[in-house]
Amino acid sequence: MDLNELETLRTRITASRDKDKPCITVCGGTGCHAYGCLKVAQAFRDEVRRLGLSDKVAVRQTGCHGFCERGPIVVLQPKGIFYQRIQLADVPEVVSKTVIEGLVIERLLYAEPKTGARIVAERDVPFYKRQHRRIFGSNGHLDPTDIDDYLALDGYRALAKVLSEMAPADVIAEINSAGLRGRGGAGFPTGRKWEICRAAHGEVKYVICNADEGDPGAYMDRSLLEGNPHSVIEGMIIGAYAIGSHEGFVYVRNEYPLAVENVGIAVEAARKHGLLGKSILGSKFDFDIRIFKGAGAFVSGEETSLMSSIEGRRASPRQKPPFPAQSGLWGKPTNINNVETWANVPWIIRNGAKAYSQIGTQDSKGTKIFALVGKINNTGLVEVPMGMKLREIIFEIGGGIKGGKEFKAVQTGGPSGGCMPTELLDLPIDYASLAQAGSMMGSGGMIVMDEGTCMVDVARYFLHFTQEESCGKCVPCRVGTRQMAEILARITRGEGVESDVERLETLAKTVKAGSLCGLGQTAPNPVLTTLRYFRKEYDAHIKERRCPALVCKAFLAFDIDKRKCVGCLLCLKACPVKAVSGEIKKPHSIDQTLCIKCGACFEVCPPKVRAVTKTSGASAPERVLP
Amino acid sequence: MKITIDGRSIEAQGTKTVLEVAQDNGIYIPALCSHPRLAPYAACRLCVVSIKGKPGFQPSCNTYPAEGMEVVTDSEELRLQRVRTMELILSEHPNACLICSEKADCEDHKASIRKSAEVTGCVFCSSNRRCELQEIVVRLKVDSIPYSSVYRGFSVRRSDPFFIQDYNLCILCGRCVRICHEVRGAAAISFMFRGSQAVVGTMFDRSLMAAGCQFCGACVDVCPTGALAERVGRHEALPDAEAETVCPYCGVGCRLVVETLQGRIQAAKPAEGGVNRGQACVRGRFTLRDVVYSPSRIRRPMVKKDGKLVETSWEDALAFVAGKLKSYAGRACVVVSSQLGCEDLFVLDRFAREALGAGGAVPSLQPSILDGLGDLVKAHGLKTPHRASLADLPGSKAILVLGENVPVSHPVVWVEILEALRCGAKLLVASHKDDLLTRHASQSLKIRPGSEFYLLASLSKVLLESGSPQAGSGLKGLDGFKKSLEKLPASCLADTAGLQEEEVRRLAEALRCCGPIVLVFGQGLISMPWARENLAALWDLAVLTGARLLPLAEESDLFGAWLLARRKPSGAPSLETVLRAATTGEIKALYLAGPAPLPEKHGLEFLVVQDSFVNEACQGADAVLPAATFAEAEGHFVNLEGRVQKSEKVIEPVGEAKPDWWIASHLASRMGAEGFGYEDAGRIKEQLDKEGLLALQEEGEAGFVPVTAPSGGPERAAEYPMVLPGEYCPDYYRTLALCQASPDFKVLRNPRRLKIGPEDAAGAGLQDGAKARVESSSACAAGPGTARVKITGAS
Amino acid sequence: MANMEAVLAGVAPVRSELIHALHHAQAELGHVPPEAVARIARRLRISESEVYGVLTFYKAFSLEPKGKHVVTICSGTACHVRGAPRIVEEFQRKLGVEAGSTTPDREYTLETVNCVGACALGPIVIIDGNYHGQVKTTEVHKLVEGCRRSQAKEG
Repeated sequence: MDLNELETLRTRITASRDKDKPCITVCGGTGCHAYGCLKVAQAFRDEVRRLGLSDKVAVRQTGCHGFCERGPIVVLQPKGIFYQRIQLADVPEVVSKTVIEGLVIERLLYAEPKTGARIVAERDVPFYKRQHRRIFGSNGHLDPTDIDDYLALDGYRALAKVLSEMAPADVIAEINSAGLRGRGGAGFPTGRKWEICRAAHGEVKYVICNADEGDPGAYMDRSLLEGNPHSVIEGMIIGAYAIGSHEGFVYVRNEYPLAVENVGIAVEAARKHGLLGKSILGSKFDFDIRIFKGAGAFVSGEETSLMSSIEGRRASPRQKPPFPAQSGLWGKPTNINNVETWANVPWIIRNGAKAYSQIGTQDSKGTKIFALVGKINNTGLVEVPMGMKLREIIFEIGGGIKGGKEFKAVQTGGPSGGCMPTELLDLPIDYASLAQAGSMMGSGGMIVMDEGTCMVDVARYFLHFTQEESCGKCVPCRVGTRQMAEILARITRGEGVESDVERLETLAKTVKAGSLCGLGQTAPNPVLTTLRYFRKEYDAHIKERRCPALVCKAFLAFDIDKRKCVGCLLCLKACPVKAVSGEIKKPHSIDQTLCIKCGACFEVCPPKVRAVTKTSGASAPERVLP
Repeated sequence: MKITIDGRSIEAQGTKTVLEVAQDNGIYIPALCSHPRLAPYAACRLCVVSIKGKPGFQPSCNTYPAEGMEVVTDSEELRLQRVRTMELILSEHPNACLICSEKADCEDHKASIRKSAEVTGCVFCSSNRRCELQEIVVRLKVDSIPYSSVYRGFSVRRSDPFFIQDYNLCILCGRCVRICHEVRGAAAISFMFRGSQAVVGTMFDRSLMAAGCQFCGACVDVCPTGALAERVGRHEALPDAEAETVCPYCGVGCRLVVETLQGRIQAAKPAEGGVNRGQACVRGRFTLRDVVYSPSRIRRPMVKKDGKLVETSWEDALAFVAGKLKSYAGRACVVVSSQLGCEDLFVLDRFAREALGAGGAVPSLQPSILDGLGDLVKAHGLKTPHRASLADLPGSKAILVLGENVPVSHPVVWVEILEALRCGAKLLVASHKDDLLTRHASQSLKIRPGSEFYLLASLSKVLLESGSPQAGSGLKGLDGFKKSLEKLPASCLADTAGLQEEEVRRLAEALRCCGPIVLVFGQGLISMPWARENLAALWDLAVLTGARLLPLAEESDLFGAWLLARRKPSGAPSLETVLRAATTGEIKALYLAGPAPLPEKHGLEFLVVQDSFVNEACQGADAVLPAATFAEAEGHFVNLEGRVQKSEKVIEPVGEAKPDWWIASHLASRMGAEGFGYEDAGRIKEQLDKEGLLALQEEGEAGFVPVTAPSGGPERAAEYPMVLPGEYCPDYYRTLALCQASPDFKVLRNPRRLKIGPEDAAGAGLQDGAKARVESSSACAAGPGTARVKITGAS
Repeated sequence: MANMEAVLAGVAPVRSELIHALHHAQAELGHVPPEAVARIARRLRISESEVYGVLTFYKAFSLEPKGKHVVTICSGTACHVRGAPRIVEEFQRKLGVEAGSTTPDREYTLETVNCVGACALGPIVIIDGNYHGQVKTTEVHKLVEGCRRSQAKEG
């Protein structure tokens, strides 16, 4: 197929779709899979078939819409009526009342938590209203396994424009003037990266999409790949054309089977439509993509490790220089970009660099997709303009802290990032200011923590993570992270000593300055930021033997307030080690020598009664060690 | 280009790293994972330096100089970073002695308490006082480790021969893994698991033997700590002297540094320079000590008195032998091993001709590939095709290997071949086996044993048909060669060797590539009766493609023996004629200075054995004269490239052994021959140089030799249907087999196994591990030659 | 092993196919036994130690076959702050094995994984492919029993 055949196909598709034919879109991202969205979508199809409306009403299983908290999500197009938490039982009512009669079902609408007001249209829901969903927006409108949906939304128009009007240098100039920076975490200007790779000598060059996304708590790359694979593929083809590469890889994490499947279908469809393979769209440019399934190693998200992994080796990083742009995969010049970076490219080419750079700050242009997770009401994927303040993301879009608890900290940048306290809530989100605060943009994980989270335990968790995921090649990271994890574990076990903090700081400096790759160089960030902003909690653990957030088990004590206990035996049954004693209707008591502090009794004690007390530090009864 | 290090302006080229440039200029930078022979790895992070314009610390082992680069190698910040990193390394290493405050006193008062099951401190470690960690701890003044120490608690692995592995001492610098992968190509060990669980090891924790390790010792040599330690001598004190010798076994002629303590050999390490560039093989690296101090050494001269060998003095023995030999002048022969030095061979040859009137000293390894080539030169008056040296291999574009399992027989040649592969050369292999060679080959052909001729001939045919490269045009004998090719029956070319046309065409295509080609061949090529035809076909292929020849001489001085034998007017009788003459009684006296398969019943009246080790021949010998080994006498050896190398005397002779040339010259003078008054080996060498005997001048012009199809079909094929290809491996020194000398070597080279194709095994009713009986047609079935055999299940 | 052919099906004799081949072995045999390592090494013409070195680096490949039921607990950051460690401890007590290992009777494999991408449901437990969201320590007992009962039905 050549350029004009593509346009004729596009017009044929758009013509065949009449705008106001009702279409039931059901979110099909992995988050909603957990809610059972596949069964819901099937129920809608059966219901529509049962009522004989198959030709009048369409059912489309789309990618992730972003608002995972309220899954399974159903949006009725064309009006955009937003229904949330749809159960199988609601399906017949939705079809008959809303689809056919056009009536809105109040109880399924999103209710504004504070005012209780019901909101009908998707774009008015506060979660979506303040977002700027340039890249992620079309997820809700297309079935990832159907290329026609993508073509109907101007898919591959950018590629057609590049192949017909733009020389490789023009493409790079456009990306440069748009100010696009890498969305993988370090934020290296994408245009310059392409330029260096283009200038490197050598006929064979590679282009890679890094979809390893190892940061726990970050799944925006996943939802993009699952929901809109063609936007990433189109971006890669344009990038390859600009750099002069004829072979590309998509390196997908092993734990993302749905993404592997959808990208595979998309690549196959693109080949069939002449958008991949030999002489793309009739031009002289050949380019093809192979999918490489990762195998479970966080470090393989680092550029040189990723290439070692594709070469069939242990994913140990190589010292730079030489940089991948000069000598990368099999020694050939290689350009690696993150999923979201590639997905931004078609938008820039279609709408121009000027329109793109209107949004964002001075040196961080465009939008960034964050995975807003943790102790937050509206868990989900949010796409916001660079420079938006943390407070606005967490409280306006995120709907504040779950269970009305106190905000304590937000962690960005995954294991390489840091925790920012309440004082930094007004920090604008961009590369520079996050770095100043000691954290990092990272791939976009944004984990919200409340008063019930212990920062020392969070630091321990991250160091345990990096120590387990370290490749073990260089001394500072292999040994340094293990020593730091050990010290932090000791502190959370109540065995912290005065000099631990100072030793942590020297270790952090040594590991940060000595490590070979990004993993080791950023592994100390969680410790450094928690020390910087939450020093009091370390002192509480070490000096006062107390965990203010009531998390670290060693300091905890569970007891029963005799005055409140109604003797309902609930905690007695729930206790796994039979530490609770007492008869029915009589106040119970906990034998401290048996109690293993699992907290089951605290959980089952009815909120009205709240007889089980959870205390930490000096007031805890002295525990007799077995 | 110009760079400044610590303010000093230094000239540097782009090929060396900043670390190497600093070290070359006497600037100390600690480094634990870098190694001159290995690619930069940048894992230990000790060699960090600050470079103006580059953020943070840069590992100098991975940074190449650039014009005007300013490097700072010593600042307070850098020192702190290195000390911190060293503390981390030592927190996972038994560090008791390293940071002990009484360390200095301990050195003077402690007895050697090294022999302990577990190394908990340097005092118990075999690398004490030669470990790179100790040196860095002193240089960086590390005196405390503020972290909890970790002892991994691995059990010490002792199940493999030659060296033990104690991975509690390992600092994961990766040198051993990298040298096994990058330089030696075996990749027997690798990194296992990940992060703090990472460890060096083999698959499923099996033994190194099972993982295909060749025990070349390269990993033991590069290990900076005591993690890999030689089993023999690891509890002995440090050596107090060393000398550089040439390895006595195969024709590569590796230079070895032999360490001695109070005049007794402790260990041999590969020398840095020389043809082997710091590498060696299991024989040279681990067996010298077992051979030189083997219990079967002959220590004093012995003479037969009424049926029994009795020890005597040198005076009596020489008088007795000289007297007896005089009576057999003209009816005696001398056999020599070509593992002797040129001085010994020259004097023994003169002794045979001038004192005994025999045709000259007969080399024990016959036929040899060098003789084969020599015969072709004599027969056609041409110059042998260009001879290759080991240094030619890395620059070559295609390497064809025939008739030799190079990684086992000549491991250091294999190292150079691997270097060539890394620089993009293509390895082409024709062999009947599946081994390390075929694993690295870009094209490997399975041919029936002994049918190399058909491959070589059809390669030339294919090249000629498709317009041979000009290298061959206009040279003498081209038409004769073409005609002789046509005469070969076309059908038999591919099928007798079990090859398809397509495979041969693809191999020819690879040989047409631009760039130098090397043909590497060994004893296997001439082990069949049609050795001459094989060599002729090889010769022509070399001339046709302009390739160079690398003959893999089996023995350390085979080239020297061949050079010396060339000057004789009439060639010395061949070993076979000598043995036949001994049985029929044509000759009455035999002087054995080398291994010869003497039949029990022979017509000899007088047998003398001049050797370092007791062997079967000694039982029937009338006199046994103890000869010094290569380590006990100075000498010169000529390796397979024709390079003359000096081998120093390392230790005093064992017992009353004397150098071979000394024995022969004293016997000759007692028998009245003149000109044998050599005081030392130097005099002999002067005479050799004066007469230019060791120089290789090749006259005549290049050209083709006609080829003839192998005649003399397989005799008694019906009776002996199968072909047992000989396994050529110089696993011996003179008459002592290494399996006998070194128990560990016996474990490695378990000779008692027969490899047989699945169909043949089924035919003979054999399954895996069954006992088999081998009957052969040719006389010396036991010898290394390829033989026709019948294989049946042993009752 | 008949399915050994399936392990090597479509695997080109090139080193960069190693991880592809190991994925095949894991899917086909449930783990990567010595026999598979030997076959893959011979096909890709590299040493067995190299194959084993790569195999033990990545978490996706296991040396031991997994248990009949696989209990996967997400311990990503979001689930961690929502109490995943308590759930892991409770499962370890109930099944009597540490996370990352299989019960002696090869019935249950308990493993933790970093982020399955369903953070809204944290802490999340996946048993034999079905998701259980916002799990409480007290529900762990019910989940294990449910699994035993469904297995009894099948068995």
